[in-house]
Amino acid sequence: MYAATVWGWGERFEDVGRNCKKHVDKRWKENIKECKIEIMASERNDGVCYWLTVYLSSPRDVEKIAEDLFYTALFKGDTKVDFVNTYLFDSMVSNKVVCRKSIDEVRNEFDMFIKEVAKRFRSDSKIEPIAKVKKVEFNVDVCLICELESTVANKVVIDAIHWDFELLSNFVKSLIDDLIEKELASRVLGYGLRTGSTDSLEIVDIGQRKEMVFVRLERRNKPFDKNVDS
Amino acid sequence: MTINETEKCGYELLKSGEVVGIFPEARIEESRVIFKLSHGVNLEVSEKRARETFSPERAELCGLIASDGTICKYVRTHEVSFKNVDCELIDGFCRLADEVYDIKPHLYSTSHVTKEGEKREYYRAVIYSKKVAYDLWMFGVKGPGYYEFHPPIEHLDEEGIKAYLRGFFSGDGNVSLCKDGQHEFRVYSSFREGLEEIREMFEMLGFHPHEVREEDKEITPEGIRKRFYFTIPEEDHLKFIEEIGTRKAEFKRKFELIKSINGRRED
Repeated sequence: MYAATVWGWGERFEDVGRNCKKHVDKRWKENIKECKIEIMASERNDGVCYWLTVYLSSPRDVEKIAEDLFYTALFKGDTKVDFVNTYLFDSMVSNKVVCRKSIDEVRNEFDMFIKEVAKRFRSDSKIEPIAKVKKVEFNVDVCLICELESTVANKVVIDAIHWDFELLSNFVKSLIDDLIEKELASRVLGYGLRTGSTDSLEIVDIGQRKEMVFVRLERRNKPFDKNVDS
Repeated sequence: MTINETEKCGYELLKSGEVVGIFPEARIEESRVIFKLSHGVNLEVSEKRARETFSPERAELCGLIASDGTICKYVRTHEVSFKNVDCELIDGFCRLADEVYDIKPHLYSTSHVTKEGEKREYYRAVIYSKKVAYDLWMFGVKGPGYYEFHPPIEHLDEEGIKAYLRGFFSGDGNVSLCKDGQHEFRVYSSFREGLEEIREMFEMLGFHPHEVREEDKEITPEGIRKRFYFTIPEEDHLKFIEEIGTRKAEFKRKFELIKSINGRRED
C-alpha cells in the first residue's frame, strides 16, 4: 500500500484535486487495483469529526472526484478539512467495507451499547450514590458508518464520530444529501456502528442537573512522550 | 531599574543611573510598568525582570493564526491568512490585524449554492507582507510545518494568555450543546505538542482541563493521520465563558444558552 497526505489545512483549496491527481498518477502501476481518497475533517459547531472516503479503480477521474468530495466537506456547516490523504492498494479493499444495516437497527445497537456501559459503570463509587436519586445518562463517542453506492466510484463511505446519536445521524443524513446532490453517490446501501469495547473506558466528567446527571466516558490514555513524533 | 517621567520625551528607563530606553507611553501598574513598543509588543518591567510581552490584541491574533491561520512563503509573496465560515470571526481577524500591524487584510470568499438555493460561503482574510510573516515566524506562532504551532507563553501575561486562548478556541474549539442541555467544550489539533502547551495555559489560569487524548483508535477508521483533543470539564464552563469568551457568533449564542441553563440550575 502507498499512502500519502497530499493536502493539509493552510494549503490553497484549489490545489486539492491537482495534488491528488499528481500523487495517484505517479504511483499508479500495473499491480494497483484500487485507490482511496480520504477527506479528514471536523465540523466545529456540533463537534463532529468525520471522514469522507471514495474508492476508485482508475486514476482517470481522481482530480474531479477529489475536488467534489473536498468541497462537499468544506461547505458542511463550520467544517475544517484537516487532511486529504490518498492510498493505493494492490487488491480491491472496498469489498471489505460492508455496512448493510438499517438506521433503526444501528440505533438499537447504539442503545444496547449504552445499556452495557450503564451496567458497567452504575456501580462506580462516584455514580452509585447519585444514581439512587437522579436519572443518569452515559455519553461515549461512537462512530456511525454509512456505505453509499456510486456511479462514479466503486463506493463512497462516511465515518462520523459524536456521542449524541440523534445529532450524529442527522449530520450523516445531511452529508448523504450533499453527496447525492453532487452526484458522487447515488443511494445509501446501509449503515454500521463502531463502538469499541467498554473495557478501557473511564469516567472523565460528571455534569449535574436538577433531575439528571450526565456522565462522560472516554478511553484510557497512553502517557504523552514529547520525544515520540506525534 | 528606575523610571523617570520627563517633560520632553515621555518616560526614561534607567539602569544603574544610565538611560537604557526612552518611551513616549507607559502604563504604570502595581507590580510592573508597561512600555509600548511596536506591532502589539510591549516591554514589561518589574522588580524581578524585564521582558517583551504581547498586547491582548496581538495575543488573540496569534491564537487565531495558530488555529485556522497559515503563514506561507510563495515565490513572489509572503501570506498570512485566516480562513473561516464565520463573518464575525473574519471581521475580528481583520480588526486585530489593523490594530497590531496597521494593515487591512484582503478578503476573499469561496461559495457554493445548493440545489435548494442556499448559499454557503467560506471566507479567507489575507495579509500579503513579508514583514508580518517574519514577525510572526520569529515568535514561533505557526510553522515551519503546516500544523506546527507553539503558544508564545514567555511573552504572555495573564490577559495575553486569555486573549490567545480566545483566539485559538474561536478557531479550533468546539462547543457542543444538545437539546437536553448537555454541553461540552473541546479543543482540537493535529499537533499534539502545541495542544499540550494550550492545555497547560488553561491550567495556569486555574482551569481543570482533562488530559490530551488521541482520537479513539477503536472507533476511528484506519488512516495515516491522527487528531488530538482535550475537554474542559463542565465545572469550568461558566469560568470559561466569563474569562475567555469567543468572537465566534455561533459560540456566543451557545454561551448565552449555557448561562441560562446554569442559571436555572441554581434556582
